[in-house]
Amino acid sequence: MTTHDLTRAVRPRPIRTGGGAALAAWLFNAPALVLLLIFLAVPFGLAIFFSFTNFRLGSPLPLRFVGVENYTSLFSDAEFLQAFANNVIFAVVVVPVQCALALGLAILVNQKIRGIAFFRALFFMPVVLGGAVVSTIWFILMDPSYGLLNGLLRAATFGQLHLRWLQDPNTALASIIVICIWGSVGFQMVILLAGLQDIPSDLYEAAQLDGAGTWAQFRSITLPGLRNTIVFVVTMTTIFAFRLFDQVFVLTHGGPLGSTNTMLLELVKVGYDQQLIGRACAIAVVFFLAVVAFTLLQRRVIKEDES
Amino acid sequence: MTVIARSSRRARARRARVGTWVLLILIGIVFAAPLLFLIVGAFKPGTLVLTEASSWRAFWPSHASLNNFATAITRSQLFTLLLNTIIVTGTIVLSGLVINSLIGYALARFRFRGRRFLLLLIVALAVVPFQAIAIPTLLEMSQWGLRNTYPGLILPMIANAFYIYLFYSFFLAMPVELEEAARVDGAGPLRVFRSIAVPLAGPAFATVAILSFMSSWGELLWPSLMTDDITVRTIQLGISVIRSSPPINQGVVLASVLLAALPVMVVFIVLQRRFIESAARSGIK
Amino acid sequence: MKIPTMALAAVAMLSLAGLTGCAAGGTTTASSTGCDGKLPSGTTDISVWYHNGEAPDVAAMTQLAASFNASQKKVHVTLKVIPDMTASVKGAAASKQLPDVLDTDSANAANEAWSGYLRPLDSCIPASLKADLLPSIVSGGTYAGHQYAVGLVDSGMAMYAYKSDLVKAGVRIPTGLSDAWTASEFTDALAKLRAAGHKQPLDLWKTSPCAYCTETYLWSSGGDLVDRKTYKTASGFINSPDAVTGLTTFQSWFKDGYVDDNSDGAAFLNHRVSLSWNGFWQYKPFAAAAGSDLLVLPMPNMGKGATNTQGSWQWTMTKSSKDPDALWAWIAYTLEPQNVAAIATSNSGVPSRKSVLATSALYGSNGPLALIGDGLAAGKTVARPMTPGYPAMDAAYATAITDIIAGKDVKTALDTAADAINSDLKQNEYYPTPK
Repeated sequence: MTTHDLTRAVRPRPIRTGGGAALAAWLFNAPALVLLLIFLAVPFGLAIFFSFTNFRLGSPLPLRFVGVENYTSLFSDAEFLQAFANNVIFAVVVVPVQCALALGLAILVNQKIRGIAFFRALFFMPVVLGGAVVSTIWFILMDPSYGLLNGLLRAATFGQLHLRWLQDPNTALASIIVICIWGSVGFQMVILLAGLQDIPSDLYEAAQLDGAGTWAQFRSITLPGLRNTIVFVVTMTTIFAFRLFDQVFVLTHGGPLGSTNTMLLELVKVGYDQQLIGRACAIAVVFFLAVVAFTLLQRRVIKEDES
Repeated sequence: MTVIARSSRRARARRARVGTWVLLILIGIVFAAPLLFLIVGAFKPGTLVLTEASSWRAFWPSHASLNNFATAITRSQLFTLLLNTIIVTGTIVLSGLVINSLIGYALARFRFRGRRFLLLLIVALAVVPFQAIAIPTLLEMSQWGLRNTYPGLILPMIANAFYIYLFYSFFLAMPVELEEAARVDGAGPLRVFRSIAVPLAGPAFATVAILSFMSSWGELLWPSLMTDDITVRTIQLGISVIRSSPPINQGVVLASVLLAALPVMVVFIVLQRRFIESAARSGIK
Repeated sequence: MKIPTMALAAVAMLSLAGLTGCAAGGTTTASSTGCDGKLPSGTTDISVWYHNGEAPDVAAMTQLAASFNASQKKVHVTLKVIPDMTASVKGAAASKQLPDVLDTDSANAANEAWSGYLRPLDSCIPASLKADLLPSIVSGGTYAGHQYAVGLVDSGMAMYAYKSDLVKAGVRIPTGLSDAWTASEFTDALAKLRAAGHKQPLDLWKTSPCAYCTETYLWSSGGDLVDRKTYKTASGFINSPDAVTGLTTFQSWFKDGYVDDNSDGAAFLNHRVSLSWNGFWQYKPFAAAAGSDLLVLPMPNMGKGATNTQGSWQWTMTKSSKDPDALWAWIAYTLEPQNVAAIATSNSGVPSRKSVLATSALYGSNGPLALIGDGLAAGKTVARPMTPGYPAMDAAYATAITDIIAGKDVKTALDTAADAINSDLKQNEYYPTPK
């Protein structure tokens, strides 16, 4: 998904070149481009513009430029920095864990067993339900007094242990992580499953004849065969991880003690609740840069790993 | 190969099969239990949903009735909201499929000036989350008087950089021979696209259809800013009202959630096979 | 070389779009003429937004609109119930789609007036009506010397209690604000109730704290959200030493485990707790659960005297193009005594007119909620600051109280809130009064 990948991918076998192709191309492009321009590029440009102003919805004060004030005050604001840090912690935990679990699930549901389609659909179902629905269910399951999770914990520890899950600053982010992984691991699973099914099965047969064990086959056939898929999945998961919003919005509103606040939630609070559009737009810009930077960094690490 | 080696291999295979089943069932429980809890809870009186949540009774429909559904439907005018959501989501998904696949196809198959720049732009825009630009977009839409209208809910959601990228990579990976043959036979670009490329790209269309259906069905922020009129509001808003305004009844909450989720589940189950197959051949890998 | 050109073009376009965008966010400039007592000829259609109350409340208001429309032909009301008023007002204001008459939380009226959405009601309210309104309604609807909001009901909170529990635990029962428990006496009472068998005897907004329902604890401690003389700073008010002391005691009830989570909303109904700090709207369900064992008591005195809060949904007129007399005709109709009584009955609110309050079965001097009614009638309640900065103060205090309940150091939490309020005041240039 980065520049590098794209430039490499830009070696298609174009079926049309020359003037006629250009005309056709722009006709094909036009509807999407017009919409993208009006509803994505211009608003994003506006967000950049507003981030340097004191713009506030419903304020009778004149609009004026405030330079980088919105940015400097962001980086001295403990609440924002905590939200930023939460996003990073969330991404650092969720990306590897969720991708690894997704790979495990993909291999599991790639078995040729009768009824496997049922399990594929089951593991994917939370993704279908969406973040808000999943959060509603888990909110009850994680209730400190009545929740199923505490019921299980109490039964397992003979009443010794029970957690306050989403209500305790020490466990809230971890609880959100669990809910998010449960709710979206199916998505990565399906993509990886597709990748698995694309690996020719004769490779495995040949390896078996050579006496390679399961682990050796995984190392020498599965992983290399899935390389591009894994890179894609990791990038996607990273972007999704930074976009964490629905779950914290429904479940904790960023609390307790800001332990589950995220950049997007902070943006929504600042922009909608406090109507500080200038500041909210500065958060949007920082968010964008952070995701791009994180993705590029990750790319580098994966690249070095490879060589 | 001796008989003994073969039988021990068979034994190992059987052990592996048993192991697979054990794993599948254990993980299956982790995924099925919360879903079962949702379904069962939707039929129980609200107070029992919570007080019975900590034991096996959480999965037992005690005092089951349809009352929660009746309350959910009357309290939030659920059918109006449902109809609005179907109109909005349907339009977004269908027009999105056309518009995003066209540009994705052009990027993959045509050579033209600015193509690389366009690709870069689309990748960059795929990173921008809608929440980040919702306020400027709201100002735009307000300027044009599109608040409280279907177009206001629909227009900003149609073109999607991520879906364009999915189509682009799918078409890129597709063999071009058939299209070339059609072209030689004198078919114009739109004709080639419509009658050759689209039928071959079924899986990509299924994937994007599911993804865009799910995200627009679940969208919460945009409709809450864009509408205050019941005649255009969407289902997620109804649920958030039921979830947050007293008296809160968890049974009604679960019932409304279930009602809202049913259409998505149906769409998924219908398209499921194509979706999984799709990914196998689509660019998402 | 192509990219810079495109970028330049984009920037030029964006700044253009930016300017139009701002115009959309600016003030509306409708004429601000007041009432002249004359309705326009023909029928004037007006739109009215009502908040999404509980079912009986909404039904009663819908009924009122129908009877108003049936009673005369000059003004026709279209009533719309708005589920999420804050979001809708923001969105509608940005697109100039505000209704003619807007139902607003009185604490936000000053902000909306400052934003230029509202029209003062001074010329519309007859003196005789104003004299009959509760002092809290008049003061709670006034900003910059003008009355912007009037309504049908007011509000209040109370410490609901099971009498038998208090008696059994040997806890003194206060009779009114003047002999309320002191904070330490209250802490002591919690310990006694626990000893008498209620492990967590108190329900106090633990799971979903809000500013409105906990602000009295700040005020009673001697703190405030802002300096009400200048409206220029919160430092030394929200985080004054008295406020820190009072709220530290408040926090100790949570730290010592006296407070029930109440995640099922039934802590008091199921008699899991003996005490519940709650709104007037809980009286009916609580009375149904506790019967004659129910007591309605004042909050504990956190240091500077027990008090109560006020404020509710109120009518405001937007700067619409319609004749203000037509808008007022509707508001005046709803304020007629029998209509105030009907709405107050439907939502259990405190009737906004002294004459109606006096005859109220709930809030009259002999009623079970006289504690709330008498406080409002005597003007002994504290209004949330009527300043355009209130929404920011509300948000800052809500965050602080949530963090305090979760265990954050009280001084730090209140300092953070003071900083947030001060920075909002500064960013808005201290909310200069509009001309």
